[in-house]
Amino acid sequence: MNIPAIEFRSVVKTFSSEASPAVDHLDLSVDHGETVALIGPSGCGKTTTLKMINRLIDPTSGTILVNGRDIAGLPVLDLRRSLGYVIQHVGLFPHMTIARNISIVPELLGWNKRRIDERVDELLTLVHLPPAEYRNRRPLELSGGQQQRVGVARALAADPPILLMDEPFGALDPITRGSLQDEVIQIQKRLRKAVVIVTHDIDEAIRLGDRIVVMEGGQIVQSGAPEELLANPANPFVASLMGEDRMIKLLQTIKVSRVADLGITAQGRATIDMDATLHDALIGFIHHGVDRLAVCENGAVIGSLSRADLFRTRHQELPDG
Amino acid sequence: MTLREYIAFFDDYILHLLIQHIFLFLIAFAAASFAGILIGILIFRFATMRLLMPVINILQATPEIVLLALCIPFLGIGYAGALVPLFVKGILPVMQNTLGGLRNVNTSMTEAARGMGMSDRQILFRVELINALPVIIAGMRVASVMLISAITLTAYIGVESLGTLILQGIARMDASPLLVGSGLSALLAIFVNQFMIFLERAAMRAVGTRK
Repeated sequence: MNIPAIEFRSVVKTFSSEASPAVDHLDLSVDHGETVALIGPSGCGKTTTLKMINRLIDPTSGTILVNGRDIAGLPVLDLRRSLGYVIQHVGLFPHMTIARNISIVPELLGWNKRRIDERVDELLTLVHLPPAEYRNRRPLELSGGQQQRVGVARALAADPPILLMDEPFGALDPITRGSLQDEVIQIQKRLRKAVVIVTHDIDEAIRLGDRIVVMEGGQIVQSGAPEELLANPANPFVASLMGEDRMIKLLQTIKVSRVADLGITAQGRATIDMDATLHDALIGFIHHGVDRLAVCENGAVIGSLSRADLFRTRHQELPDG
Repeated sequence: MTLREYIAFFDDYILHLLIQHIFLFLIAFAAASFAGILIGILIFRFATMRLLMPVINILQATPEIVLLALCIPFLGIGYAGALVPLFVKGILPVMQNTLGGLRNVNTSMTEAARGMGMSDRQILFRVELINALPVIIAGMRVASVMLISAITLTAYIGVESLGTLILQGIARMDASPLLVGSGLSALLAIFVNQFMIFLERAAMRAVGTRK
Protein backbone atom coordinates (compact mmCIF):
# COMPACT_ATOMS: atom_id res chain seq x y z
CA MET A 1 0.00 0.00 0.00
CA ASN A 2 1.24 3.45 -0.87
CA ILE A 3 1.94 5.78 1.99
CA PRO A 4 -0.05 9.00 1.52
CA ALA A 5 1.90 12.27 1.38
CA ILE A 6 -0.25 13.73 4.14
CA GLU A 7 -2.64 11.99 6.48
CA PHE A 8 -4.88 13.46 9.20
CA ARG A 9 -6.09 11.00 11.81
CA SER A 10 -8.97 12.24 13.93
CA VAL A 11 -7.38 15.68 14.30
CA VAL A 12 -9.02 18.21 16.62
CA LYS A 13 -8.00 21.82 17.08
CA THR A 14 -9.72 23.94 19.72
CA PHE A 15 -8.56 27.53 20.13
CA SER A 16 -8.65 28.73 23.72
CA SER A 17 -10.69 31.79 22.72
CA GLU A 18 -13.49 29.75 21.15
CA ALA A 19 -16.02 27.28 22.52
CA SER A 20 -16.42 24.99 19.51
CA PRO A 21 -13.42 23.37 17.84
CA ALA A 22 -12.04 24.97 14.68
CA VAL A 23 -11.24 21.52 13.32
CA ASP A 24 -13.33 18.65 14.62
CA HIS A 25 -12.14 15.04 14.28
CA LEU A 26 -10.79 15.48 10.79
CA ASP A 27 -9.72 12.45 8.78
CA LEU A 28 -8.13 13.29 5.47
CA SER A 29 -5.38 11.93 3.32
CA VAL A 30 -3.60 13.42 0.34
CA ASP A 31 -1.72 11.19 -2.08
CA HIS A 32 1.54 11.98 -3.84
CA GLY A 33 0.85 13.80 -7.08
CA GLU A 34 -2.64 14.75 -6.00
CA THR A 35 -4.01 18.28 -5.74
CA VAL A 36 -6.60 18.69 -3.00
CA ALA A 37 -8.58 21.92 -2.72
CA LEU A 38 -9.98 22.77 0.71
CA ILE A 39 -12.99 25.02 0.41
CA GLY A 40 -15.67 26.40 2.70
CA PRO A 41 -16.92 29.59 4.32
CA SER A 42 -14.69 31.73 6.58
CA GLY A 43 -14.11 29.99 9.87
CA CYS A 44 -14.81 26.51 8.50
CA GLY A 45 -11.34 25.37 9.58
CA LYS A 46 -9.71 25.09 6.15
CA THR A 47 -6.79 27.43 6.89
CA THR A 48 -6.32 25.90 10.35
CA THR A 49 -6.16 22.48 8.68
CA LEU A 50 -3.47 23.68 6.27
CA LYS A 51 -1.39 25.39 8.95
CA MET A 52 -1.39 22.25 11.07
CA ILE A 53 0.55 20.49 8.30
CA ASN A 54 3.59 22.77 8.68
CA ARG A 55 2.93 23.20 12.40
CA LEU A 56 2.27 26.90 12.30
CA ILE A 57 -0.65 25.63 14.39
CA ASP A 58 -0.37 22.54 16.58
CA PRO A 59 -3.40 20.24 16.90
CA THR A 60 -5.16 19.80 20.25
CA SER A 61 -5.45 16.07 19.64
CA GLY A 62 -5.06 13.52 16.86
CA THR A 63 -2.15 12.70 14.61
CA ILE A 64 -0.85 14.19 11.39
CA LEU A 65 1.51 12.11 9.27
CA VAL A 66 3.71 13.47 6.50
CA ASN A 67 5.17 10.71 4.33
CA GLY A 68 4.13 8.26 7.02
CA ARG A 69 5.90 10.02 9.87
CA ASP A 70 4.14 11.68 12.79
CA ILE A 71 5.05 15.36 12.47
CA ALA A 72 4.77 15.91 16.23
CA GLY A 73 8.01 13.94 16.52
CA LEU A 74 9.92 15.77 13.79
CA PRO A 75 12.10 18.85 14.41
CA VAL A 76 9.73 21.65 13.50
CA LEU A 77 12.21 23.74 11.45
CA ASP A 78 13.30 20.69 9.41
CA LEU A 79 9.64 19.87 8.76
CA ARG A 80 8.87 23.39 7.51
CA ARG A 81 11.97 23.49 5.29
CA SER A 82 10.78 20.26 3.65
CA LEU A 83 7.36 21.69 2.73
CA GLY A 84 6.67 24.41 0.14
CA TYR A 85 4.45 27.18 1.49
CA VAL A 86 2.66 29.89 -0.50
CA ILE A 87 0.49 32.51 1.24
CA GLN A 88 -2.06 35.02 -0.04
CA HIS A 89 -0.05 38.14 0.71
CA VAL A 90 3.10 36.54 -0.74
CA GLY A 91 5.37 37.88 2.04
CA LEU A 92 8.47 38.48 -0.05
CA PHE A 93 11.26 40.28 1.81
CA PRO A 94 11.55 43.79 0.34
CA HIS A 95 15.16 44.26 1.44
CA MET A 96 16.35 41.28 -0.61
CA THR A 97 16.59 40.77 -4.37
CA ILE A 98 14.27 38.31 -6.09
CA ALA A 99 17.14 35.79 -6.30
CA ARG A 100 17.82 35.99 -2.56
CA ASN A 101 14.13 35.71 -1.76
CA ILE A 102 13.94 32.49 -3.74
CA SER A 103 17.11 31.09 -2.20
CA ILE A 104 15.98 31.38 1.43
CA VAL A 105 15.17 27.72 2.04
CA PRO A 106 18.20 26.40 0.08
CA GLU A 107 20.37 28.75 2.17
CA LEU A 108 18.77 27.49 5.38
CA LEU A 109 19.54 23.97 4.15
CA GLY A 110 23.17 24.93 3.53
CA TRP A 111 23.34 24.48 -0.24
CA ASN A 112 26.46 25.90 -1.89
CA LYS A 113 26.23 29.16 -3.80
CA ARG A 114 26.66 27.65 -7.23
CA ARG A 115 23.86 25.15 -6.73
CA ILE A 116 21.61 27.91 -5.36
CA ASP A 117 22.30 30.22 -8.32
CA GLU A 118 21.50 27.47 -10.81
CA ARG A 119 18.31 26.60 -8.95
CA VAL A 120 17.18 30.26 -8.85
CA ASP A 121 17.56 30.60 -12.63
CA GLU A 122 15.79 27.30 -13.20
CA LEU A 123 12.84 28.37 -11.03
CA LEU A 124 12.55 31.86 -12.52
CA THR A 125 12.37 30.23 -15.94
CA LEU A 126 9.72 27.81 -14.64
CA VAL A 127 7.46 30.68 -13.53
CA HIS A 128 8.12 32.66 -16.74
CA LEU A 129 10.22 35.46 -15.29
CA PRO A 130 13.41 35.69 -17.43
CA PRO A 131 16.28 35.27 -14.91
CA ALA A 132 18.58 37.87 -16.49
CA GLU A 133 15.86 40.48 -16.14
CA TYR A 134 14.42 39.60 -12.76
CA ARG A 135 17.20 38.00 -10.71
CA ASN A 136 18.51 41.25 -9.24
CA ARG A 137 15.29 43.23 -8.97
CA ARG A 138 13.49 43.99 -5.74
CA PRO A 139 10.02 42.62 -4.91
CA LEU A 140 8.36 46.06 -4.79
CA GLU A 141 9.38 46.72 -8.42
CA LEU A 142 7.17 43.79 -9.48
CA SER A 143 3.40 43.64 -10.05
CA GLY A 144 1.22 41.61 -7.70
CA GLY A 145 1.03 38.72 -10.15
CA GLN A 146 4.80 38.70 -10.70
CA GLN A 147 5.36 38.79 -6.94
CA GLN A 148 3.20 35.70 -6.47
CA ARG A 149 5.11 33.95 -9.28
CA VAL A 150 8.21 34.58 -7.21
CA GLY A 151 6.24 33.32 -4.18
CA VAL A 152 5.55 30.05 -6.00
CA ALA A 153 9.19 29.79 -7.14
CA ARG A 154 10.35 30.37 -3.56
CA ALA A 155 8.06 27.62 -2.29
CA LEU A 156 9.45 25.19 -4.88
CA ALA A 157 13.09 26.19 -4.26
CA ALA A 158 14.28 23.13 -2.37
CA ASP A 159 12.08 20.83 -4.48
CA PRO A 160 9.71 19.85 -1.65
CA PRO A 161 7.43 16.86 -2.37
CA ILE A 162 4.52 18.73 -0.79
CA LEU A 163 3.23 22.20 -1.59
CA LEU A 164 0.88 24.06 0.77
CA MET A 165 -0.99 27.03 -0.69
CA ASP A 166 -3.10 29.32 1.49
CA GLU A 167 -5.47 31.30 -0.78
CA PRO A 168 -2.49 31.94 -3.05
CA PHE A 169 -4.26 33.93 -5.75
CA GLY A 170 -7.01 35.55 -3.66
CA ALA A 171 -5.51 39.04 -3.83
CA LEU A 172 -5.01 39.06 -7.61
CA ASP A 173 -7.27 40.40 -10.36
CA PRO A 174 -9.24 37.73 -12.28
CA ILE A 175 -7.04 37.75 -15.39
CA THR A 176 -3.77 37.46 -13.47
CA ARG A 177 -5.36 34.84 -11.21
CA GLY A 178 -6.39 32.79 -14.26
CA SER A 179 -2.92 32.87 -15.78
CA LEU A 180 -1.27 31.89 -12.49
CA GLN A 181 -3.75 29.04 -12.06
CA ASP A 182 -2.83 27.85 -15.56
CA GLU A 183 0.83 27.97 -14.62
CA VAL A 184 0.27 25.99 -11.44
CA ILE A 185 -1.58 23.38 -13.53
CA GLN A 186 1.34 23.24 -15.99
CA ILE A 187 3.92 23.07 -13.20
CA GLN A 188 1.94 20.38 -11.42
CA LYS A 189 1.74 18.31 -14.65
CA ARG A 190 5.54 18.28 -14.73
CA LEU A 191 6.42 18.02 -11.05
CA ARG A 192 3.56 15.90 -9.62
CA LYS A 193 3.70 17.27 -6.07
CA ALA A 194 1.15 16.62 -3.38
CA VAL A 195 -0.60 20.00 -3.31
CA VAL A 196 -3.04 21.25 -0.68
CA ILE A 197 -4.67 24.51 -1.68
CA VAL A 198 -7.02 26.50 0.55
CA THR A 199 -9.43 28.66 -1.40
CA HIS A 200 -12.83 30.31 -1.11
CA ASP A 201 -13.14 30.47 -4.89
CA ILE A 202 -15.08 27.44 -6.15
CA ASP A 203 -13.92 28.01 -9.73
CA GLU A 204 -10.32 27.86 -8.54
CA ALA A 205 -11.07 24.63 -6.65
CA ILE A 206 -12.66 23.10 -9.76
CA ARG A 207 -9.77 24.15 -12.02
CA LEU A 208 -6.91 23.11 -9.78
CA GLY A 209 -8.29 20.32 -7.63
CA ASP A 210 -8.12 16.63 -8.50
CA ARG A 211 -10.30 16.44 -5.41
CA ILE A 212 -12.35 19.07 -3.62
CA VAL A 213 -12.88 18.83 0.12
CA VAL A 214 -15.78 20.95 1.34
CA MET A 215 -15.54 21.92 5.01
CA GLU A 216 -18.05 23.46 7.38
CA GLY A 217 -17.77 23.86 11.14
CA GLY A 218 -14.42 22.08 11.23
CA GLN A 219 -15.70 18.95 9.55
CA ILE A 220 -15.67 17.55 6.03
CA VAL A 221 -19.08 17.86 4.44
CA GLN A 222 -18.18 16.25 1.16
CA SER A 223 -15.02 15.14 -0.57
CA GLY A 224 -14.69 14.06 -4.17
CA ALA A 225 -13.66 14.87 -7.71
CA PRO A 226 -14.94 18.24 -8.98
CA GLU A 227 -17.43 16.66 -11.38
CA GLU A 228 -18.77 14.43 -8.62
CA LEU A 229 -19.48 17.41 -6.39
CA LEU A 230 -20.98 19.36 -9.28
CA ALA A 231 -23.22 16.50 -10.39
CA ASN A 232 -24.17 15.15 -6.98
CA PRO A 233 -23.77 17.67 -4.17
CA ALA A 234 -24.32 15.92 -0.83
CA ASN A 235 -26.59 18.59 0.60
CA PRO A 236 -28.01 22.06 -0.11
CA PHE A 237 -24.93 23.69 1.45
CA VAL A 238 -22.57 22.04 -1.02
CA ALA A 239 -25.04 22.70 -3.84
CA SER A 240 -25.11 26.43 -3.05
CA LEU A 241 -21.33 26.50 -2.67
CA MET A 242 -20.92 24.92 -6.09
CA GLY A 243 -23.21 27.65 -7.44
CA GLU A 244 -26.51 28.01 -9.26
CA ASP A 245 -24.61 27.44 -12.48
CA ARG A 246 -23.00 24.21 -11.33
CA MET A 247 -24.39 22.28 -14.30
CA ILE A 248 -22.60 24.71 -16.61
CA LYS A 249 -19.43 24.29 -14.55
CA LEU A 250 -19.85 20.55 -14.78
CA LEU A 251 -19.73 20.87 -18.57
CA GLN A 252 -16.45 22.78 -18.16
CA THR A 253 -14.85 19.84 -16.37
CA ILE A 254 -15.61 17.27 -19.07
CA LYS A 255 -13.76 16.99 -22.35
CA VAL A 256 -15.55 16.37 -25.62
CA SER A 257 -13.41 13.26 -26.14
CA ARG A 258 -15.12 11.57 -23.16
CA VAL A 259 -18.67 11.64 -24.55
CA ALA A 260 -18.26 12.02 -28.32
CA ASP A 261 -19.36 9.21 -30.57
CA LEU A 262 -16.22 8.33 -32.47
CA GLY A 263 -17.96 5.94 -34.87
CA ILE A 264 -20.24 8.35 -36.66
CA THR A 265 -18.67 11.27 -38.45
CA ALA A 266 -20.72 14.38 -39.08
CA GLN A 267 -20.37 16.77 -41.95
CA GLY A 268 -20.47 20.52 -42.06
CA ARG A 269 -18.69 23.60 -40.87
CA ALA A 270 -19.78 23.14 -37.26
CA THR A 271 -16.78 21.49 -35.63
CA ILE A 272 -15.37 21.10 -32.14
CA ASP A 273 -11.92 19.98 -31.03
CA MET A 274 -11.47 16.71 -29.11
CA ASP A 275 -9.76 18.53 -26.25
CA ALA A 276 -12.41 21.24 -25.92
CA THR A 277 -14.84 21.03 -22.99
CA LEU A 278 -18.55 20.27 -23.20
CA HIS A 279 -19.06 23.91 -22.22
CA ASP A 280 -17.33 24.93 -25.45
CA ALA A 281 -19.52 22.42 -27.26
CA LEU A 282 -22.68 23.95 -25.76
CA ILE A 283 -21.60 27.34 -27.08
CA GLY A 284 -20.93 25.67 -30.44
CA PHE A 285 -24.47 24.20 -30.59
CA ILE A 286 -26.01 27.57 -29.80
CA HIS A 287 -23.67 29.53 -32.07
CA HIS A 288 -24.13 27.29 -35.12
CA GLY A 289 -27.77 26.41 -34.43
CA VAL A 290 -27.14 22.71 -35.04
CA ASP A 291 -27.96 19.43 -33.29
CA ARG A 292 -24.67 17.77 -34.09
CA LEU A 293 -21.05 18.93 -34.14
CA ALA A 294 -18.19 17.28 -36.01
CA VAL A 295 -15.44 16.30 -33.58
CA CYS A 296 -11.94 17.02 -34.83
CA GLU A 297 -8.48 15.95 -33.87
CA ASN A 298 -5.65 17.95 -35.43
CA GLY A 299 -8.11 19.31 -37.97
CA ALA A 300 -9.40 15.91 -39.16
CA VAL A 301 -12.97 14.85 -38.38
CA ILE A 302 -12.94 11.72 -36.24
CA GLY A 303 -16.45 11.58 -34.80
CA SER A 304 -19.49 13.54 -33.76
CA LEU A 305 -21.19 14.97 -30.72
CA SER A 306 -24.96 15.31 -30.48
CA ARG A 307 -26.81 17.82 -28.36
CA ALA A 308 -28.33 14.91 -26.46
CA ASP A 309 -24.85 13.81 -25.42
CA LEU A 310 -24.54 16.97 -23.34
CA PHE A 311 -27.58 16.15 -21.32
CA ARG A 312 -26.47 12.61 -20.52
CA THR A 313 -23.70 13.94 -18.31
CA ARG A 314 -25.97 14.70 -15.35
CA HIS A 315 -27.50 11.27 -14.83
CA GLN A 316 -25.39 8.77 -16.61
CA GLU A 317 -22.15 7.21 -15.55
CA LEU A 318 -19.40 8.71 -17.68
CA PRO A 319 -16.85 6.49 -19.32
CA ASP A 320 -13.40 7.00 -17.83
CA GLY A 321 -11.36 9.34 -19.80
CA MET B 1 33.81 92.75 23.99
CA THR B 2 31.89 92.27 20.79
CA LEU B 3 30.86 88.79 19.73
CA ARG B 4 33.60 88.74 17.11
CA GLU B 5 36.28 89.75 19.60
CA TYR B 6 34.98 87.18 22.08
CA ILE B 7 35.23 84.36 19.56
CA ALA B 8 38.69 85.48 18.42
CA PHE B 9 39.97 85.61 21.98
CA PHE B 10 38.43 82.39 23.30
CA ASP B 11 38.55 80.27 20.13
CA ASP B 12 40.62 77.46 21.68
CA TYR B 13 38.36 77.29 24.71
CA ILE B 14 35.20 77.28 22.56
CA LEU B 15 36.62 74.48 20.42
CA HIS B 16 37.52 72.53 23.54
CA LEU B 17 33.95 72.85 24.88
CA LEU B 18 32.48 71.88 21.50
CA ILE B 19 34.62 68.73 21.36
CA GLN B 20 33.72 67.96 24.96
CA HIS B 21 30.03 68.40 24.08
CA ILE B 22 30.31 66.07 21.10
CA PHE B 23 32.24 63.56 23.18
CA LEU B 24 29.55 63.48 25.89
CA PHE B 25 26.88 63.24 23.21
CA LEU B 26 28.49 60.29 21.43
CA ILE B 27 28.83 58.27 24.63
CA ALA B 28 25.30 58.97 25.89
CA PHE B 29 23.80 58.48 22.42
CA ALA B 30 25.58 55.19 21.72
CA ALA B 31 24.65 53.79 25.13
CA ALA B 32 21.03 54.99 24.90
CA SER B 33 20.61 53.59 21.38
CA PHE B 34 22.04 50.23 22.35
CA ALA B 35 19.93 49.98 25.51
CA GLY B 36 16.81 51.32 23.77
CA ILE B 37 17.03 48.78 20.93
CA LEU B 38 17.81 45.95 23.35
CA ILE B 39 14.92 46.77 25.71
CA GLY B 40 12.61 47.27 22.72
CA ILE B 41 13.48 43.79 21.42
CA LEU B 42 13.05 42.23 24.86
CA ILE B 43 9.62 43.79 25.37
CA PHE B 44 8.63 42.73 21.84
CA ARG B 45 9.66 39.14 22.42
CA PHE B 46 8.79 38.59 26.08
CA ALA B 47 5.45 39.76 27.42
CA THR B 48 6.71 39.87 31.01
CA MET B 49 9.26 42.52 30.05
CA ARG B 50 6.33 44.91 29.67
CA LEU B 51 6.76 45.48 33.44
CA LEU B 52 9.68 47.72 32.49
CA MET B 53 7.39 50.14 30.68
CA PRO B 54 6.09 52.16 33.68
CA VAL B 55 9.62 52.52 35.06
CA ILE B 56 10.88 53.90 31.78
CA ASN B 57 7.84 56.15 31.43
CA ILE B 58 8.39 57.66 34.89
CA LEU B 59 12.05 58.26 34.13
CA GLN B 60 11.05 59.87 30.87
CA ALA B 61 8.54 62.20 32.55
CA THR B 62 11.21 63.44 34.97
CA PRO B 63 12.95 66.63 33.77
CA GLU B 64 16.64 66.25 32.89
CA ILE B 65 17.71 68.70 35.57
CA VAL B 66 15.88 66.73 38.28
CA LEU B 67 17.50 63.49 37.13
CA LEU B 68 20.92 65.15 37.22
CA ALA B 69 20.27 66.36 40.76
CA LEU B 70 18.90 63.00 41.88
CA CYS B 71 22.00 61.20 40.63
CA ILE B 72 24.48 63.37 42.51
CA PRO B 73 24.15 61.52 45.85
CA PHE B 74 24.84 58.20 44.11
CA LEU B 75 27.25 59.09 41.34
CA GLY B 76 28.74 62.32 42.60
CA ILE B 77 29.55 65.19 40.28
CA GLY B 78 31.60 64.42 37.25
CA TYR B 79 31.26 62.29 34.12
CA ALA B 80 29.26 59.46 35.68
CA GLY B 81 26.78 61.84 37.29
CA ALA B 82 26.38 63.67 33.98
CA LEU B 83 26.23 60.74 31.59
CA VAL B 84 23.96 58.31 33.44
CA PRO B 85 20.88 60.56 33.65
CA LEU B 86 21.35 61.64 30.01
CA PHE B 87 21.69 58.06 28.90
CA VAL B 88 18.48 57.19 30.74
CA LYS B 89 16.63 60.02 29.05
CA GLY B 90 17.81 58.88 25.65
CA ILE B 91 16.49 55.33 26.00
CA LEU B 92 12.76 55.91 25.71
CA PRO B 93 12.40 57.31 22.19
CA VAL B 94 14.70 54.58 20.83
CA MET B 95 12.89 51.85 22.76
CA GLN B 96 9.42 53.05 21.76
CA ASN B 97 10.33 53.20 18.09
CA THR B 98 12.09 49.84 18.20
CA LEU B 99 8.97 48.28 19.70
CA GLY B 100 6.63 50.10 17.30
CA GLY B 101 8.83 49.30 14.31
CA LEU B 102 8.98 45.61 15.18
CA ARG B 103 5.24 45.42 15.81
CA ASN B 104 4.51 47.05 12.47
CA VAL B 105 6.56 44.65 10.38
CA ASN B 106 4.15 43.16 7.85
CA THR B 107 2.81 39.91 9.32
CA SER B 108 2.76 38.24 5.90
CA MET B 109 6.56 38.54 5.89
CA THR B 110 6.97 36.94 9.29
CA GLU B 111 4.42 34.25 8.48
CA ALA B 112 6.28 33.40 5.28
CA ALA B 113 9.57 33.35 7.18
CA ARG B 114 8.18 31.06 9.88
CA GLY B 115 6.50 28.81 7.29
CA MET B 116 9.79 28.42 5.43
CA GLY B 117 11.49 27.18 8.56
CA MET B 118 13.41 30.19 9.85
CA SER B 119 14.12 30.08 13.58
CA ASP B 120 12.84 32.86 15.86
CA ARG B 121 16.32 34.34 15.97
CA GLN B 122 16.70 34.25 12.17
CA ILE B 123 13.31 35.92 11.79
CA LEU B 124 14.28 38.64 14.30
CA PHE B 125 17.64 39.48 12.73
CA ARG B 126 17.04 38.76 9.05
CA VAL B 127 13.48 40.00 8.70
CA GLU B 128 12.03 41.97 11.60
CA LEU B 129 14.91 44.21 12.72
CA ILE B 130 15.93 45.07 9.16
CA ASN B 131 12.43 46.06 8.20
CA ALA B 132 11.97 48.05 11.44
CA LEU B 133 15.25 49.91 10.86
CA PRO B 134 13.82 53.14 9.39
CA VAL B 135 11.49 53.50 12.39
CA ILE B 136 14.28 52.67 14.84
CA ILE B 137 16.55 55.29 13.25
CA ALA B 138 13.72 57.85 13.52
CA GLY B 139 13.63 57.13 17.27
CA MET B 140 17.39 57.55 17.47
CA ARG B 141 17.04 60.88 15.72
CA VAL B 142 14.58 62.12 18.35
CA ALA B 143 16.93 60.92 21.09
CA SER B 144 19.97 62.56 19.48
CA VAL B 145 18.42 66.02 19.21
CA MET B 146 17.08 65.77 22.75
CA LEU B 147 20.51 64.71 24.08
CA ILE B 148 22.41 67.54 22.38
CA SER B 149 20.25 70.14 24.09
CA ALA B 150 20.17 68.25 27.43
CA ILE B 151 23.97 68.00 27.55
CA THR B 152 24.18 71.77 28.07
CA LEU B 153 22.76 71.09 31.57
CA THR B 154 25.84 69.12 32.65
CA ALA B 155 27.53 72.47 33.27
CA TYR B 156 25.43 72.72 36.44
CA ILE B 157 27.26 69.76 37.95
CA GLY B 158 30.66 70.87 36.84
CA VAL B 159 31.10 68.85 33.66
CA GLU B 160 32.27 71.08 30.84
CA SER B 161 30.15 71.34 27.70
CA LEU B 162 28.72 74.12 25.55
CA GLY B 163 26.41 74.62 28.55
CA THR B 164 29.41 76.07 30.40
CA LEU B 165 29.34 79.06 28.04
CA ILE B 166 25.61 79.45 28.54
CA LEU B 167 26.03 79.47 32.32
CA GLN B 168 28.84 82.03 32.05
CA GLY B 169 26.67 84.21 29.85
CA ILE B 170 23.83 84.10 32.36
CA ALA B 171 26.14 84.73 35.34
CA ARG B 172 27.94 87.68 33.72
CA MET B 173 24.93 89.07 31.91
CA ASP B 174 27.09 88.73 28.77
CA ALA B 175 25.38 87.95 25.47
CA SER B 176 28.53 86.73 23.68
CA PRO B 177 29.18 83.42 25.49
CA LEU B 178 25.41 82.88 25.67
CA LEU B 179 25.09 83.24 21.91
CA VAL B 180 28.16 81.13 21.16
CA GLY B 181 27.10 78.33 23.56
CA SER B 182 23.46 78.14 22.53
CA GLY B 183 24.21 78.83 18.87
CA LEU B 184 26.79 76.07 18.57
CA SER B 185 24.59 73.51 20.33
CA ALA B 186 21.69 74.47 18.04
CA LEU B 187 23.92 74.09 14.97
CA LEU B 188 25.15 70.75 16.26
CA ALA B 189 21.56 69.59 16.78
CA ILE B 190 20.59 70.65 13.25
CA PHE B 191 23.60 68.89 11.75
CA VAL B 192 22.97 65.63 13.64
CA ASN B 193 19.27 65.78 12.81
CA GLN B 194 20.05 66.09 9.09
CA PHE B 195 22.56 63.28 9.27
CA MET B 196 19.99 61.01 10.94
CA ILE B 197 17.38 61.91 8.31
CA PHE B 198 19.91 60.87 5.68
CA LEU B 199 20.43 57.51 7.43
CA GLU B 200 16.69 57.04 7.83
CA ARG B 201 16.10 57.55 4.11
CA ALA B 202 18.92 55.20 3.21
CA ALA B 203 17.31 52.56 5.44
CA MET B 204 13.91 53.21 3.87
CA ARG B 205 15.39 52.66 0.42
CA ALA B 206 17.02 49.45 1.61
CA VAL B 207 13.73 48.00 2.83
CA GLY B 208 11.82 49.36 -0.15
CA THR B 209 9.47 51.78 1.63
CA ARG B 210 11.05 54.64 -0.33
CA LYS B 211 12.30 54.69 -3.88
